[in-house]
Amino acid sequence: MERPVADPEHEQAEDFDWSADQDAAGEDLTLIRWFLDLSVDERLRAAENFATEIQRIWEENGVRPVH
Amino acid sequence: MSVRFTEIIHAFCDNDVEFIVVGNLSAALLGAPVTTHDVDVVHRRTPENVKRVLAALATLRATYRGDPRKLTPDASHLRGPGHQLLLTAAGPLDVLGSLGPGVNYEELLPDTETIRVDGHEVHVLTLERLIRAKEAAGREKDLAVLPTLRRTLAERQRRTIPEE
Repeated sequence: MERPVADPEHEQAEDFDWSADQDAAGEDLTLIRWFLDLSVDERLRAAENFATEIQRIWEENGVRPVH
Repeated sequence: MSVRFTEIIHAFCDNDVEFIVVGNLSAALLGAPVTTHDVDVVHRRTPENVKRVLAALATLRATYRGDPRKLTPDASHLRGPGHQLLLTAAGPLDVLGSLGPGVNYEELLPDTETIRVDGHEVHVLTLERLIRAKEAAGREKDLAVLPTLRRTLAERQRRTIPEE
C-alpha cells in the first residue's frame, strides 16, 4: 500500500488542538469565547459596526425593513 | 448613516430614563456573538418616566420608522404596552411598553444585570430571561438565535465555576 505523501500544511495542522474550542457536543465555541473575552464597550462597538455596515448596504439597495 | 447605539444609551441615561436593554443588543452586551440593527428597550410606564423618555427621544430626533409624515410618539403611545418602532439620528430604536403579553418593566427588572456601558450603569436583560422570552415569542428569527444564546450562557456559567 502506498504511503501518503507528507504535506507540510497537514504536518503543521497536527500540532493544533482542534478540540480546544469545542463543547461536549462538538460545537465550535471559538466565536463565543472570543466575544466573551471582549470588554462590554468593545462588544458595543462591534454591534455598532455591524449595524452601520448592514444599514449602508440596505440604503445602497433601497431596502427599508420596518421590523 | 452611521449607527451609534452608544448615543441612544447616552440619551436615555442623560435624561434619567428608567429602562432595560433587551433583544439582541442585550445579548451582545453580555457576550453573545449575535448581530442586530437596532436598540430594543423596555421603559417604565409611569407618567414621570414617560416624560423622560419623550425628552430622550426629542434629543435623538426620533420619528416612526417608515412613516413619510415623520410622526413622533407622544405620551399616550408610551403609556401603553405597545411597541414604538422608531428611527433616530443615531439609528433604529424600538421602545417597548412590554416584552410579551403583560410583561412590563417592573416584572423584568429582577431579571436584569447592571453593567457599565460607556460610562453609564445600564440594566440589561439576563441571557436566561432573554432565552425564555425568545422561546415564548417563537418567531423564526428568535428561534434561529437560540443555539448561540444557550451556548454563550453555558460558557459564561462554566467560567464562573472555579477550576479544580
